[in-house]
Amino acid sequence: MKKEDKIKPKTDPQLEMLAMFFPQKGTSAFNRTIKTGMASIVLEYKEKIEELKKRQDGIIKNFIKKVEEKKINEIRKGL
Amino acid sequence: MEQKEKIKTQEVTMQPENIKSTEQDFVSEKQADVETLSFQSIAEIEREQNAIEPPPDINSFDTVDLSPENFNQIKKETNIEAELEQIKDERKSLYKKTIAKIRDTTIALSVFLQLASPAAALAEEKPVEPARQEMVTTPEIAQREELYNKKIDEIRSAAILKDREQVYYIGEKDGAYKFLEAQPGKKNHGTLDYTKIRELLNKGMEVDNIHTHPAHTLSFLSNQGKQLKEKTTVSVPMPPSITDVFAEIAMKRDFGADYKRIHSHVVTPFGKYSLSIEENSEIAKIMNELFDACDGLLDKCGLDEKEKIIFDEILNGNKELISIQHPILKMGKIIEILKNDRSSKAKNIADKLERGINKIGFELLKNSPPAVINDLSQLIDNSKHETEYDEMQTRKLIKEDLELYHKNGIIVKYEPFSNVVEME
Repeated sequence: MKKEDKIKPKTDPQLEMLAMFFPQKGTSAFNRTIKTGMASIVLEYKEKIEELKKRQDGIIKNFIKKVEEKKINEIRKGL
Repeated sequence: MEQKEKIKTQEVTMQPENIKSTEQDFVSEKQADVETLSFQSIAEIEREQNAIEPPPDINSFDTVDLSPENFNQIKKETNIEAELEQIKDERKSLYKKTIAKIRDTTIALSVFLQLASPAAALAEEKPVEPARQEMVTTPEIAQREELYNKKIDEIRSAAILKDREQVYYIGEKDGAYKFLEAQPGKKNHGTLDYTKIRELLNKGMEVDNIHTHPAHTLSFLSNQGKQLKEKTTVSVPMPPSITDVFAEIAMKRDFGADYKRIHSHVVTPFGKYSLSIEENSEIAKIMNELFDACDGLLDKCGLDEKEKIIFDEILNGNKELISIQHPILKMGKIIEILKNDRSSKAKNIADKLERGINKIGFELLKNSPPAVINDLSQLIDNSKHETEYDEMQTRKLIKEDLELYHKNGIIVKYEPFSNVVEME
């Protein structure tokens, strides 16, 4: 296709948006989509791990609190 | 309390900043390579997994000042050992599932990337012409048809003379017609008015939803108004575009059971197309998922409280935005407004939305049949270029569109006007 054969590109906002959702293979938009998507799997994992860590911390803190309270009670009883 | 100190250091090892930088690292790469991305992702998950310290041994706690009975009682009351074991199991399961997800995604993407472009595949298939509607005329309905055809001829003239698309609604019940006033659209697209369609449906009518594809859309036709009017120009296919197809899918979803009373047509200078969507169309399934995802995008793109305030300040009351109903167009307009705003924070929000769109695109790509996504992206790409080239190139792209429609459950039927010169 010669350059002079080109007339004018169609500018349709809906089409532009759709092309963002369904980018053509090999385009930078496509590369960006798969990179962002793959990264999102890793992020999802990290976020879930983070939640599990927080849950574990909560359980341990609660346990330590109860141990400390019991200790104080035992010391008081001993006195 | 040594144990307490150890527990504190274990609390939060992954800060939100680290999470952000991971995403940026992936996005900043210049060349996407699925295998490399997969390897990077698995390596990162494994690093994270290895960095997790095991939960503290409860029995090694400082129990000075505490009797073994009381200590055991607390263990029993809190059920701590079982709870910690449960978390350990969940971590293991999460790790396995994530690795499996990355592997499955890699396979899906590799299959998609290996597919030939539809253009190449179709070159070997027999071309499919749009089916022509069989019109049966009986004396009883001839008069009605005359009235209807007169209106269609008027619409055809609009397709020849007006440079913008026109949208028409025709209601029909028991042989009586109701013609609503034409609505001018934009140069490349009209806007559906659901209120008008609903108005006719509520009267128990069948509704013809008709829009024009003006000659002006195609550059090589735009200066042939005289010849078109005199009907001396060779017919050019101007079938429903992929955006017409998407609007039709949205309408099918939005009108539910009433959709069967809506009949969509495109009138060009050369003929009338009818458009409908097959019940099991894969493209329709994918588009419906996209519409749902767009509706929830704002909630899912992770704006913080400050960004939500900025977002509202910039967009609330924006008249242009209020007038847009279509979820995809609305999202496009929001991004455009944010990008045009002077503040860097607005641009950051636009970036987040775009990343959200990338994620939706990725989910669709990963979870949908690769061949359908391939066809869909080809149809979108064709549509961007159909007005860009000369007549022969345009004819070639449109022919390819019709092939892809046929393959993917998009039903397009064509009824040429009787006095049109067909291309040999």
